[in-house]
Amino acid sequence: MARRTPHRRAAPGLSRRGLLSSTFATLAGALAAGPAGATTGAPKAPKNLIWFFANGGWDVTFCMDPKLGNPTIEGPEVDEVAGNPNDRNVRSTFGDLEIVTNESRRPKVTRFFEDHGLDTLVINGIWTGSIVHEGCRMRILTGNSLANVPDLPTQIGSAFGAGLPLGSVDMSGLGYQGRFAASSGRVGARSQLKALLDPSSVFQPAPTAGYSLPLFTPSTGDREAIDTFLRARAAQLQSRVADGGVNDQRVADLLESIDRRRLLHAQGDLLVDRLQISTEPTLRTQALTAVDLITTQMCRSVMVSDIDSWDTHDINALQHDRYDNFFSVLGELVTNLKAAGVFDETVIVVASEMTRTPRRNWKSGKDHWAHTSMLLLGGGIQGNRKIGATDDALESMAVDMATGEPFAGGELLKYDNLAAGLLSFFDIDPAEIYPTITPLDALKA
Amino acid sequence: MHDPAAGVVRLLPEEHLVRASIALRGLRPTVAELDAVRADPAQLEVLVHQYVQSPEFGLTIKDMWAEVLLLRNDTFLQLPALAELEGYNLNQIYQSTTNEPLELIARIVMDDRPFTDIVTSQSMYADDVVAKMYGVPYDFDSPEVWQETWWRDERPVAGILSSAQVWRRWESNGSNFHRGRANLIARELLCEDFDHRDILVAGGINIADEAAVAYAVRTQPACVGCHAALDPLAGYFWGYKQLIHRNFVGQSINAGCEWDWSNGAQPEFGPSYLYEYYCYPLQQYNVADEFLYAQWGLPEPSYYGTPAKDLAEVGQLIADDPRFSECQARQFFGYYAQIDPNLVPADTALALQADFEASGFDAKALAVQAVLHPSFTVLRSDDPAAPLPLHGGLHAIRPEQYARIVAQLTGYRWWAVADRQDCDAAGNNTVQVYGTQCWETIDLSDSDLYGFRAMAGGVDGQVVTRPIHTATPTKLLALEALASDAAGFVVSADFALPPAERRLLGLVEADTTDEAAIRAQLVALHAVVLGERAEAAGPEVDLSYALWATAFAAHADAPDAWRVALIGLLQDPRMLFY
Repeated sequence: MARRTPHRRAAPGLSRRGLLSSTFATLAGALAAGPAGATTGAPKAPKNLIWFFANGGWDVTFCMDPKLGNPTIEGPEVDEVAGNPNDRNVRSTFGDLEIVTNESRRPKVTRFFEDHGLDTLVINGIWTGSIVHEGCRMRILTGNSLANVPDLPTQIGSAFGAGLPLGSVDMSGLGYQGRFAASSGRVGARSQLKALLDPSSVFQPAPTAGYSLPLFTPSTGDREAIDTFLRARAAQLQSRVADGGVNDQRVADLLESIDRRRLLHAQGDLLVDRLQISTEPTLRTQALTAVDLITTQMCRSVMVSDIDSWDTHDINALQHDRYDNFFSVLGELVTNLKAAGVFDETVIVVASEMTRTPRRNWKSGKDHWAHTSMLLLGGGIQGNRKIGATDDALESMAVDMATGEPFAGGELLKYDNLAAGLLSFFDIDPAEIYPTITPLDALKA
Repeated sequence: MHDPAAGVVRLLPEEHLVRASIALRGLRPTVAELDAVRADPAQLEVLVHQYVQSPEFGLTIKDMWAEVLLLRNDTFLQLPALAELEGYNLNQIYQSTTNEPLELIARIVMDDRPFTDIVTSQSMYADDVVAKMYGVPYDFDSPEVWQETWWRDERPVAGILSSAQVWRRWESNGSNFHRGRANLIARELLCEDFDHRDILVAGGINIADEAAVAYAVRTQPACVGCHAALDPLAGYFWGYKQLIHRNFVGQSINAGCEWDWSNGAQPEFGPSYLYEYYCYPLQQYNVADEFLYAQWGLPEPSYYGTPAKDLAEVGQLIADDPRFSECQARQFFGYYAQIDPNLVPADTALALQADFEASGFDAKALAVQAVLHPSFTVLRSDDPAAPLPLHGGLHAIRPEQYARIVAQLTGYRWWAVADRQDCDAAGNNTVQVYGTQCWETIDLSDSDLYGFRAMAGGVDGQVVTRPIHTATPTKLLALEALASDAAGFVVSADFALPPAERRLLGLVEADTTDEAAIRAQLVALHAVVLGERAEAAGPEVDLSYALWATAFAAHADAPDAWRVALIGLLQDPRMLFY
């Protein structure tokens, strides 16, 4: 089961703490290739991740899991307007992918698969283990039902992001950074990170306060002196508390955070330019920022999330607009990554924590359903494929984990198989975090 | 102090005092308190008992329960400042609604009432905003802001089980039928989270088909395990509105609080969503809705199989349930020790539970026992081959604690106005429909809408639901910003005062550059800021002096050098970890 290098490893012979010492910067280049140490000239290996999230629960029957004509499932066709001949949901084929499209209501979905279908791996029938938003989100993001496992963007950012300002950037706030939190950064609900990097963006007190902010801004030299002081003080603390366990982790986290903060101050202009203070970044802004962050090597992993809710309990027809906007931005994201030349080394995970019930409720909405789908693109993912499946009741079916094909003698495709499979795809040994879980090796086909 | 029997090295008494003080109050002990404990370790217990009598302990109780119940969610849309609430800003509405349940919990603790009162109390607390919002009796002429009062509607009264804000935060959507609310009770009051278990819905049950679900949860073995307990508990919440969102209230007020339904139209969200219910005072509870569970084929309400008439009786059953006392032992210890309540070692939880019950459910006593418990005093393992598990060792400063400590030391709070310029503009559509969108002055350390609580490791009550108990880059950025402003504030303020009246810099003047004097001041700062006994020529002060001297060389200005030195001390590892 064990593959290549252990998780969260440094280059051979180097401890993690060694990475965080004064040699931090010089080691960064050596580690930038990631755990497997890809060499120049070799095929590009995935080392970046963009997690593109539809928060609230998408209805997979609107797109990647066609159920048109199934009498037990009320899909997008129930919203069709009889007098509008263009408002028709059909099964469309893009390469080998069969997708539900509607030229009137969700044209951007069509455009996306026309442009990028050959790059897209569709995974249907992922069992989420819960019908609660946070329960599902945690399981899909972390591969675990408890909050003690970091989410996949953080894990991958941590593994590949040594020497960068951040390993991962959570623009959504939805992440579970766990024990790798020292490698990750948050943007804030209203882009507050900008105010921390740009003194001219700070909020001011009321005029009656009699002063303005910032009250004092340390210079770059001051910050270097402070960081030197903090590192030395951390060493003094560690001499008293070290035991090879959690205390060492805390001190290492502090040292790592000091280093990354310094790099953020030095290289944070990109974030400062992109973010608009007091404004929630739109999906498009998040996606544009994600491309910039990846291409400028500010980080290795970014989590973005739609700020429009997909939780359509009351009016499921809202899913049409959600899909159209979401795939519009997704298409731009893929195009921009390709234009920047980083698509082949960047895996895009398109996900939602759950799908919605087969039938509508009494309000014409749909409730939570413990299954979902996922799209993967880029980073060496072989597209133009569909793996996993749901049955006529929109329930996940057992699959062969090696091929992803439905297989009666196989295993239910669960959130943890997928998480382990993704780690394995990134050449990260999943056994440390998911020791008993069969990875979905079909991702590597 | 080596404890070979336990295989650990324990905190020194003064270190234990620091940990207990920050955990209980979000404040560092004074130098005098530290000296007293160094001289006589028995004083630690005396001081800890004093700490739980302090107002800051009450604030920490609020912090704790805001995190447990995820109540501080300022990123969620606030109810409109219209009609009776016109003239208030959104920060006032947010603070008042959020503190409605928190004030009750804190009063129960601080007034030495049995902690079981949080699920049995007949009264509640309201300020003027809450009183107007829900129409509870309130003396608007009294100088007392938070007044003990009573729900005037017909909701069964049972402490936080009757809280308006708890059930506004924990709303029920679609065909959830209040199960999420029931699970909140199970998870946070009884430590029995139904959602920790994976669900396996087999056999093509359509969750959107309420009748099919009702049948399945009673008959399908995979469902019965949870739903046999969950659904009857959820049955007690049918009297509460599923949702009370800003748009319902705004539309209702703008429509004049009434609507003629006689033309055959139906309320969009059902018969309990009449316009008149959504004008202030809100009618959150309707007795007529209590029995709607039957309409959906759901089971009779009960508390884990024990019949109970309503939430008031459920509250009493919870109070009598041994799972409640064990769970609260886990919640308190877990909060102080920064571990998931379910990961608190069983022997620790059971010992605390026994003492808690013996004390008559005295939360102050529970808090004291938690921070005096041997599990709380571990510094490190004594065996590198057997390091501490993740829930031992150093604790990380929470954003609420950090802000309070900085204010304690420097007198500075991070007040700012972060509103958009059009937050109250007539041309702003949102303002036209929902009234002002201005928050005016907020504390940036106590905000996620514009501030830095979640970015500094806290939760935002809505999206960020798990605190981070270690250093992160964004946490350090946030703390650096606060430390810089606080240092800028206190140095200027101190040097404008006579030495005896200063907070931190009483041993130097603005033009003092003599090394011995600087070191003497740094010794004092190490003691006050970090609780550290340092020598003027010792390695600790060598480092802080080097920082001061470097800054002085760069700025040629002693006050600026003190600002830089204080920024360092306020971010010292002994400040960030305790």
